[in-house]
Amino acid sequence: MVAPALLHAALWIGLPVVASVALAFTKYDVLSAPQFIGLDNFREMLDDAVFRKSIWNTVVYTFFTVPVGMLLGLLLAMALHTGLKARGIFRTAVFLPQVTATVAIALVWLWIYNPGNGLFNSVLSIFGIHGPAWLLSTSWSMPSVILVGIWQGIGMKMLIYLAALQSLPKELYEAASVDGASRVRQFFSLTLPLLKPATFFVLITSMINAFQSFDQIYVLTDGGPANSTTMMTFEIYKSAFREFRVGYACAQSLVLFALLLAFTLVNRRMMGGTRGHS
Amino acid sequence: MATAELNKGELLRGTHKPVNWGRIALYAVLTLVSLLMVVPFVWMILTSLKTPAEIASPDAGLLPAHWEFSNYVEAFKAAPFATYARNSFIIAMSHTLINVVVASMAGYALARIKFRGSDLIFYCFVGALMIPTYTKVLPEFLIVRFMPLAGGNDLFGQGGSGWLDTWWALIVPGAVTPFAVFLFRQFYLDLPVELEEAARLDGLGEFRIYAQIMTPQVKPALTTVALLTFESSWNNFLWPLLVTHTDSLRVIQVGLSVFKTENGTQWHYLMAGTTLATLPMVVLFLIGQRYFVQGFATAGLK
Amino acid sequence: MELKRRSVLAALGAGTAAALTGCGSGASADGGSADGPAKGEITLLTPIYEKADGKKLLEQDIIGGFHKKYPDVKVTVDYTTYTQLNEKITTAMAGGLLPDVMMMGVGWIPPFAAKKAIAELPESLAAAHDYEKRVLEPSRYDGRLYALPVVLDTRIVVYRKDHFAEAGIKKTPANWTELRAMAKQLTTKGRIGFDPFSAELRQVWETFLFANGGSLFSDDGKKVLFNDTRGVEALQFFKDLIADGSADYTKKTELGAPTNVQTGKASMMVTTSALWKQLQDQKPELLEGDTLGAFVLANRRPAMLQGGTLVTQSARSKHPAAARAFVEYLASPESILGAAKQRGSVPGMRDLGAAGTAYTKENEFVDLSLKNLGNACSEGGTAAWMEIREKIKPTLEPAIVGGQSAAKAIAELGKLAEAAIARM
Repeated sequence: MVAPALLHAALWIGLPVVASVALAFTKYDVLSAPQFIGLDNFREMLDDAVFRKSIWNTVVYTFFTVPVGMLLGLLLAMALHTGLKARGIFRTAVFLPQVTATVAIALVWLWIYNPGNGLFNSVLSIFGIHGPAWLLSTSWSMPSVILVGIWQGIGMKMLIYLAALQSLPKELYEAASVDGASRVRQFFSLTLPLLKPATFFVLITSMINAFQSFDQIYVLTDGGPANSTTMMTFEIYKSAFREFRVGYACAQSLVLFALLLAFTLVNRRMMGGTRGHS
Repeated sequence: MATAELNKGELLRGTHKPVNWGRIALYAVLTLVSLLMVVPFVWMILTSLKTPAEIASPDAGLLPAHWEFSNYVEAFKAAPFATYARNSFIIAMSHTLINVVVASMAGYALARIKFRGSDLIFYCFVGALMIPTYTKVLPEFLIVRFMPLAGGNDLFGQGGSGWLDTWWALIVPGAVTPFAVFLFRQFYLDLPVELEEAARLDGLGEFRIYAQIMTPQVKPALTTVALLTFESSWNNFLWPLLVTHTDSLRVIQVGLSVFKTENGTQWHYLMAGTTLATLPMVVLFLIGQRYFVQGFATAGLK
Repeated sequence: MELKRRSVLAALGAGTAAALTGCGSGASADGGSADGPAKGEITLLTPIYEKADGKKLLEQDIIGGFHKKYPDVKVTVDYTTYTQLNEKITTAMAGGLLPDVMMMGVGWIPPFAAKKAIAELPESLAAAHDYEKRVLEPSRYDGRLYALPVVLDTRIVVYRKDHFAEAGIKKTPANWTELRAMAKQLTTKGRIGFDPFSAELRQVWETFLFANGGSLFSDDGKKVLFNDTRGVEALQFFKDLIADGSADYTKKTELGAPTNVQTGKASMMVTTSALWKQLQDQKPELLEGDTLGAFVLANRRPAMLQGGTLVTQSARSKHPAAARAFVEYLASPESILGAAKQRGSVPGMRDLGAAGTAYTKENEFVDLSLKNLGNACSEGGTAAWMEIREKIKPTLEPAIVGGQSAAKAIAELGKLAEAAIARM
């Protein structure tokens, strides 16, 4: 039963991966045939200060967006899982950033962050604070991008938690209520352990998404100012499609992949496996 | 849904109590959060109804001075949007159907059937998620272009243009996502083993256990995958642009890009077009999220 | 099943390998002779002629006219956007299916010509029309012609005549000393005197470099020249303006947003000729009231950066004669005027007849640009340009937003550029 999906993945992902790994050891500019250059791409990467910076930025971005986003997503899912009136409206509202076109999102956030008359600095000036030039300051650009990342990712995390909450066996809760367990106790001793497969899923996919975030950077900062918000996928994109250095881009992708793999394994270890409580 | 039940009870009790401060606070917080989430969407709609002069004016109000509904008519005329929307719909629908069926089968097998290498295969799917789009796009394009025996190609993929500029290229490569396989697996993991054993005692085959017994239990996951697949497929821009060149095969996001050029952007048309392109997704979500509750209702029938 | 999958993979692997080694091109790499009769089916890849009106212009007027002249050629059009043009060309090139005729930006010609992806054009095409010599510079590589200009976008300085009058300034600045003094004088009432930063930092710095008498690379494109004092002075000038308070990096506006001269928040700004068209939509009263003027930046020499869209012929076209005829037609006076009008751009030549005169009369920025084509300067000029162009903005930015010195930023950029050239 796994065969159709596996075949599809082998062809459309497996083969590209094999090609990318091979290309990582070549100089390939798509105009002429790839040329084997051994480890030169990797050696060059060691000297590439911008790529090093992008690795650090990616890790920082992931470290802040994933846990905060997951916590908010879970809390919202818990709240919207209840028999609240108008919960459909609330759910849709939280999910909206996921479906709103990136161009509209970028426009609004650029306005919010506008140093002159943007929303943030207008609000701050009420309290007599002179706000920074958010996206144009090397120290504030990253936090600004992180905020947008959290904001945009909550909808998806909430949706998955919501789906997971709906699938929990209610008999257990009935038993727990009969036993007189408080709501808080129920949450920690029942809900959280039962949500483990979903949490593992949300954690891994959010981490992967964070590692691969591209759109926000592309539309909000273009990696700037002074490379302060550039991230690994953005560098990979630039190498391959703006500089025509496909071989180098593939080598960069390998590093990204290795990092993600390491983080995933650590996470799996920390959560004690990918399966549930049983 | 256990908490849903509890809260329903509480809600009923709540009607007897005069004021429930906790509930009011919850509503207040949720309203605030929702407002924060909705801002760009509302902004988009308001911008779509303004004149270019008003959009550019620094001291214009938040609401349009007069509502320019004609922006929608004009934007619609700028490109064959009816064709684009039809194409996007066909692609998104195909992706959704294929992904829900194929990925749920794979997720089920990985979660419930013990076979050699199942863990390895699972990690391959997770690993597949880790490949950035921009790394995959060039090799994927080459596979499409050198697809053997298609579009004039010979057995070795030479001579023609393969699947380029065909429905195949638009639909097949993105049809099954490792994301969905992973999500389904995690949801099937949680189902009680008794369910499966009872079905097996009744003599049901593996496929029928999957289709008739287990899958109805993960309806929320089906809905989630369907919504997310449809959404990402509908919003896809780069891939359809790369693999097509005929206008009749292009999709809605490609159509919208004409309003944003190097020499300036026609925000009023862009926002009008974008609003129209986003509305189906919002409606779909409003409908889709109701099925979470239904999923619970059927799950109760065990 | 296992076997089947393997054979499928093997077959595909063979195809991919063929593609990567360049055997998949299908046609000889030298492009063949373009001397035969123009016939066959050709494809055009274009990032311009957007929207229904652009499409009508291209497919009815231009291709319609072309079809009358060459009834045996059929043209299909592949529309893309400027932002995705790279992806489109990269994938097409890797797949060996490069469109017969391609439109691309200034600076792209040397890299593509060096790799023999685009075909050389006969010198007679350069003489066919009244081209300013400098306008064709970005179309050349190694002295040979590889492209023809379709539309130009020039970087000029636009200023508020009302602000100038208020401050009692009678003429536009002739050099940087005057520019700096005026910017300082105009910085009042919450306005900034000069906004060089709303245009792309790379292009603004280049404009200043050229105006300072500097150049980017040596004629053969092998040596970096911008890392001399001219380049440092150009960057330092921005730092001086910021120190004066008469320019502000944080007040730059995004592409497509209302510009600072338009809102009155700046008295001068570096912008493109296309601003005229944007103002016709967004704030026509500024144009009607003759509030805006424009001049070409000058220090040691006047310099107007020339960007734009060029048309090229693929070196691998199966119908080179048809492709060449179409390249020629797309760059002909009757075709380029329509394209320029649709985008508010500058046509690549002066002599465009009565219709051309009418257009330049209506658009003062285009008129100024056309009069200054002799001062046009272009970016690029090296086969390593694609790599270098991406590095310019992020490498220079620390000097603007951080405390880095101009000399250090330029030296760093020089090093990166030299490494990129060495890799070629």
